[in-house]
Amino acid sequence: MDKELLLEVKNLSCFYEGKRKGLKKPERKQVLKNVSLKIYKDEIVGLVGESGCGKSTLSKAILGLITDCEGDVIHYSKLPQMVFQDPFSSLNPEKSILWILEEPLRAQGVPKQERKERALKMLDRIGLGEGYANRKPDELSGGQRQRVAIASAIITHPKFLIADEPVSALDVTVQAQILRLMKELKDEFDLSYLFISHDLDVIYQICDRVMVMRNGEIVEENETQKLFDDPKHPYTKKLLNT
Amino acid sequence: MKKVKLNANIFTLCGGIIAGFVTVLTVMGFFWTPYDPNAMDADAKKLAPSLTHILGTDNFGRDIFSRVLEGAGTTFIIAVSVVAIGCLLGIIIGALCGYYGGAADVILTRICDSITALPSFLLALVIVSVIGAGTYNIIIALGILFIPSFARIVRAEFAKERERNYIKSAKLMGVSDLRIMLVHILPNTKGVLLPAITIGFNNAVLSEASMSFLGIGVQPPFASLGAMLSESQTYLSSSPWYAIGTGGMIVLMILGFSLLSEGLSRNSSKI
Repeated sequence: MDKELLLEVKNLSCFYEGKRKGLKKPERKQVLKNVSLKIYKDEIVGLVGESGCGKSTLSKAILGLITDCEGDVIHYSKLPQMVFQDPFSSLNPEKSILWILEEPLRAQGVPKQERKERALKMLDRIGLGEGYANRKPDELSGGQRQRVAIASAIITHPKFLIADEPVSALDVTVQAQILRLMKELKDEFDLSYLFISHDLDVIYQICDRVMVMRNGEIVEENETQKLFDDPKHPYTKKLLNT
Repeated sequence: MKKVKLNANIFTLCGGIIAGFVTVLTVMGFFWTPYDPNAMDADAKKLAPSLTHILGTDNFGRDIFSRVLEGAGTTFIIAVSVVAIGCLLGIIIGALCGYYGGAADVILTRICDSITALPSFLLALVIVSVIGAGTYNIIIALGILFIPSFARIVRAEFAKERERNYIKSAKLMGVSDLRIMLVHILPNTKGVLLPAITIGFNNAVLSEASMSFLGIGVQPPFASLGAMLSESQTYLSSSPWYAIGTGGMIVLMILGFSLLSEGLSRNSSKI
């Protein structure tokens, strides 16, 4: 085992502020309990669990979007990116597709000419073509938007990408296309994914390794095939049976 | 669906035509008026509208049309300055409050709320009585009073947009906060900001007119629509065209811009 480590999470606990009741101080609800995990180069790690179990919280905490946390998150790669579930709010409605794809490069100070070339190339790669360059997001379908969201996340060549339910808002045929695209891009761009989903079918199709989460804890972790063949934890068995 | 679109277009179209007409007249007034607006003519006092004096003359024999043009110019400049001050500071305050939140947000929001809770005209009176009457002073007074209304809507929009995923993505890409606010979020507020600006312009015109009408705004001999309306009421029975010409200009200005604002907000809520 001599794989390059990309992300290490050690004993991470996260909290949310509950609802304020009258004058009492709001309750501090613990959402993640002592989560530890490692993600290596070139792998797709699935995170599965029921909604509300803390999957999205974990992803946000890893990216520093939640501040009330204890424990350590260590990134060994620069600028990890994220693809969100809802393809409708993940693209700026006022901007053109080309602008959206260029913006990550702009933030890194890539010169104008190169920026445009790379964005157009990317647009072509995700199967949309130059005709879409000047369209606005609301002229695109959900699947097309998700392609653009993925493209703008990886256009700066990050090593690590979190995909939070990237296909669950899409219908099944589109799901398959997006999963295929993500697999291809993983090889072309040397990516690793943390792939979050509640859908075991999707996890089975794409992941190398799976973690099962329940009530803010990771209860089981194994290679995908082994986990599906021989689940150890009763909760995993229950998930697989439904 | 089709009907809504049609209505919105009619509002924008009529508003645009009237507002455009008023703006052209006003801008023309800066460069050319048929007569010198302040030239008195003892032989031509209180003349009824005719071909030589389209809107007649006032008690000093001054050409009312020329004065309306000049007065509209003054009112226009005051209203535009007031909206510019209110909108600019409102955007800055609203954007910072909405984007960062926190204690400063709570305090500034409460201050804005308390300013809005008091009758704005009364507050303007207070400010003017402290800093004195005059064109620049009412720009400052009204400008300050216009900040909260802009700050509030901008804050609400920023607080809403901040939570959306494209902003989180932008943060992850390493886009600076300033750029996120100006380039990513601000263009998304235009749907509510444009109608607010046109409504604000109307309110500024009305406020200036009422303050000058009460004699605490633009001081004679400078013409402003409010000041002229105030003068004209003395001669309402003997030369009603004075009040009609001046009032008509105010009505056109307000009507044009409120139709435009109505059209704009219908257009933006449609999407």
